[in-house]
Amino acid sequence: MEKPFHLMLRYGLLSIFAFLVVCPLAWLGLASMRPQNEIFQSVSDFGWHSFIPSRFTFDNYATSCWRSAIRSLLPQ
Amino acid sequence: MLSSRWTPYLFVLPVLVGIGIFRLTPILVAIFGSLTGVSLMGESRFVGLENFTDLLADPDFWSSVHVTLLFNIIINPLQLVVAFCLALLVFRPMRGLWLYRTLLVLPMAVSTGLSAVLFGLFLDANLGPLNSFLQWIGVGIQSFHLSQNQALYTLIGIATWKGAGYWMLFLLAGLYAIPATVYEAALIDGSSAWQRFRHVTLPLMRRPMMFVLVVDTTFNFLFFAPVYILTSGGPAGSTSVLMFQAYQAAFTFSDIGRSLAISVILLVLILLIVMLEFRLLRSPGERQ
Repeated sequence: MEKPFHLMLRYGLLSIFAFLVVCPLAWLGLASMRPQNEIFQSVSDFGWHSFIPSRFTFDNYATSCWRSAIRSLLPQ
Repeated sequence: MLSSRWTPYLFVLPVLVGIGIFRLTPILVAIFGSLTGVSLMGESRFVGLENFTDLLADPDFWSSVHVTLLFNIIINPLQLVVAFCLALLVFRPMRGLWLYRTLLVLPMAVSTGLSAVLFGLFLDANLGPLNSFLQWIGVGIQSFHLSQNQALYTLIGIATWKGAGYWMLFLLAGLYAIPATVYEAALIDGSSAWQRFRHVTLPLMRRPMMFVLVVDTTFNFLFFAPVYILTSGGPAGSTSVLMFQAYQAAFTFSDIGRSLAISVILLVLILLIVMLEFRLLRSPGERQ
């Protein structure tokens, strides 16, 4: 059996690594659901809103899908 | 009935044809192309080793060689060590391990180009959350890929973020391939955990580690997309790796001969370094 201390250490290290890996991806996913006017934020105010949008919207997905749909119909 | 002597070659033929057309032919074309130059009128002519002598006299080329070597000297051991640590951490069973494994290999699902775009936004000096965090804790805003001193290390970080999980998989498979009986024998001999790691795990991991190091080296010498997307070789040539120089020579300056000469030099460089790595990591009893 693994000693409790070693197990704790493993969980701790793995959590740090997993956080480093997931953080940019999570930010990307959340930022994709920001409303247009909130995408550009100053770096000077750091807080939850650096990651969590004030309201979730799928507008960005809708516009990009709509655009690519039109583009695919246009002749090259 | 086919004669049994030629049958094996028949089976191997499709692969050999594929390798010949898609691997060897481009290399030969590159080698011959590196001996030609294109005149202003667009005619190519044979110039001998002129492309190479031009390169060797060019300080930009040498600084690019320096950047490429520095990049690889740091990134290859770094990725190997990080991947090995990760593999050791996710090797033995524990509760919730599947979650950590999944999260750690997640960057594999992001394309190289997209990860460069993602970090371009993430590290941005005005909008990026990382700079926002750094300012909040009082470190101050860093310009990362836009600063001459940090650009190369930023790229190394991005490539490691992207690659470590991938190489972890190979090393994890290597760890699983070590038979449990070897550890049992070591336990019966009364070895400590460190001794088991040093004298059982490490020597038996030599082959998987050599594979990862060699393949990683070839990948990283051909590192291109993030350089192109994030820094374009700048600032002040601090991230202008040889691949980017080759791209620039061909598509910015339309000097195909020079581009192919850089590619040939890169090929020779990779061959030399991979040979060196094989030599360094060969086990003491093994002779070839």
